[in-house]
Amino acid sequence: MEAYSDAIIWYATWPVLIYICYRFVLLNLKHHAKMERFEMLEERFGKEIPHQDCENF
Amino acid sequence: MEHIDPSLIDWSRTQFALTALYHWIFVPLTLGLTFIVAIMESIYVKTGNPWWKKTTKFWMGLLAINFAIGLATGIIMEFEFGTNWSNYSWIVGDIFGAPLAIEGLMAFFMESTFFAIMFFGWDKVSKKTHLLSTWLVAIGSNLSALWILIANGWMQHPVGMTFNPDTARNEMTDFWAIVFNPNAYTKFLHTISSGYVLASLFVIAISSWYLLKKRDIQFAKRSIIVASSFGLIVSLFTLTTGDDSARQVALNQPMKLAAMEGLYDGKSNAEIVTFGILNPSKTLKDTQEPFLFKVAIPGGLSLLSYHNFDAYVPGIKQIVYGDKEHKIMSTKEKIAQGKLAVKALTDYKKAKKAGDKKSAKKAKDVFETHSQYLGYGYLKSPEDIVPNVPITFYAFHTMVGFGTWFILLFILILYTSMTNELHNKRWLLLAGIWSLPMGYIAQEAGWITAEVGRQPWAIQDMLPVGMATSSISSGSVMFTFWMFALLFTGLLIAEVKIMTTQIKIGPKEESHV
Repeated sequence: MEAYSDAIIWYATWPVLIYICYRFVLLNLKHHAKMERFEMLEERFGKEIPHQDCENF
Repeated sequence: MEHIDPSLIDWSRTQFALTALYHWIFVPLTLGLTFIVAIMESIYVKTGNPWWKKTTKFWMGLLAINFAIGLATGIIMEFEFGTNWSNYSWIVGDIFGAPLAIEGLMAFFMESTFFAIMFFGWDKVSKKTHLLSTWLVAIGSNLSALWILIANGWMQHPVGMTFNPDTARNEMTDFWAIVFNPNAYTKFLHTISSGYVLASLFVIAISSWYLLKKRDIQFAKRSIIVASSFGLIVSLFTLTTGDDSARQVALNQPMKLAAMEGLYDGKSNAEIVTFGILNPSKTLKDTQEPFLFKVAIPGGLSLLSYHNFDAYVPGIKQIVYGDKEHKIMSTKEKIAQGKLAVKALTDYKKAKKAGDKKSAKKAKDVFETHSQYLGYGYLKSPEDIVPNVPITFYAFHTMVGFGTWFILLFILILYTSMTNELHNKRWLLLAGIWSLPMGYIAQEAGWITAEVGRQPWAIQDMLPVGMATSSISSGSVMFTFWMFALLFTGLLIAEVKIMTTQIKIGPKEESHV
């Protein structure tokens, strides 16, 4: 099996790739939700907006 | 090979190419869209936000249409191994059959079973069970691809087997060598990740259309963020696996690499052509320049192929005519050795049939000495090993060029989505839409590079396509070719029509959420 270590490592990148994609999607959605919230609050109250996390995107 | 009707070979090849190219219209979208849908549903289960259920169900609907039609075209391909390629199936069925059987038993049934739960089970199973089914569909469809690509990787670089002169068949000796074949894993990862790229382009194109039409805006924006995030990561991964795949080609299929780059004369510090127009009057034996115009990076091909700027990359001429300086045996010599192997095999069979053990042993020894070049014994001339250079070159460069554009597109779309400016950038939305057909072209170009580039071999250096066909009339293959062409075109039109209808209807509101 040692001769196949390269192959095993490469095959193992597949689930890792999917997990990284999932985390990256979540990160970007969270950021986008935050951006939308800022824009909405800016429209309503002006420029000074307190920081808030947006978990439920 | 003299006894086989050339038109039978041509029609059998054309029919398989037609089936494979049509099948590959549907498969990559399924490979990628299953994961995009699984990610969307995971977000729904994580957040409980009904928006995500609506989004997931919409893309799942399009996936179902594509899945059903992809299945129909795939089944026909498996039958063609028996109908049109029975010699191939006889000679390597013991090896090639195993991955195909595992694909059918394990992955295909897993994929199909959970597909039913995923599509029909929304209100019948719990949220988590449904999510698990969706992930299992994604994993199952990709595992199907794994076994098919292990089989294809073996055809490009046969390992883990031995030729049995008694049965005239290749027999598997090491299953794990086939599974862990470098050509198999690079092909698998490159193929599935390019499918993910196509699925990302699909979601972006449809969502861009909604944004241009100023309808379902929130749905489209969120779908684009998922697709562009997914697409960016997987397109970078595709680039990496493509590089590794090219290195395997350099090591195991140098003729294919030379054709991909239009490299007629081998050299150290070989350049890589980023863009070029081939000289159409160039032939193997003349000294004309192979390119009318080209933009090239010096040393690029040596670096990419062997991780060394000064490495020698053999050209088409060196592979055909040999190169003593670089210890490359000429194809003429390989053919001569191959013919000795073919003759020894015939003598062995005759001696065995006559019960002459001494002659049989002698013939077997001669065969084993030259068996490495057995496949070459069926070739007529050294030039037969040169694939169609223009098709291979242009297909390869189309794939790479479009693939590079997709990375840039994902970056632009993701950036403008994050800054919430995408819906105002009409040109970028149009680019998103037009990149979808480019994605399909890149997919097909990839397979054309892989399969045209390895001609004349059905199995690299072992079995020429002319020896792999069935003994049937070319008329029957021609008839079924046109039948499949009509059937597949009908299926494609049906898919496009059903999909465009669903896209025009758009995502449906969830009444009970």
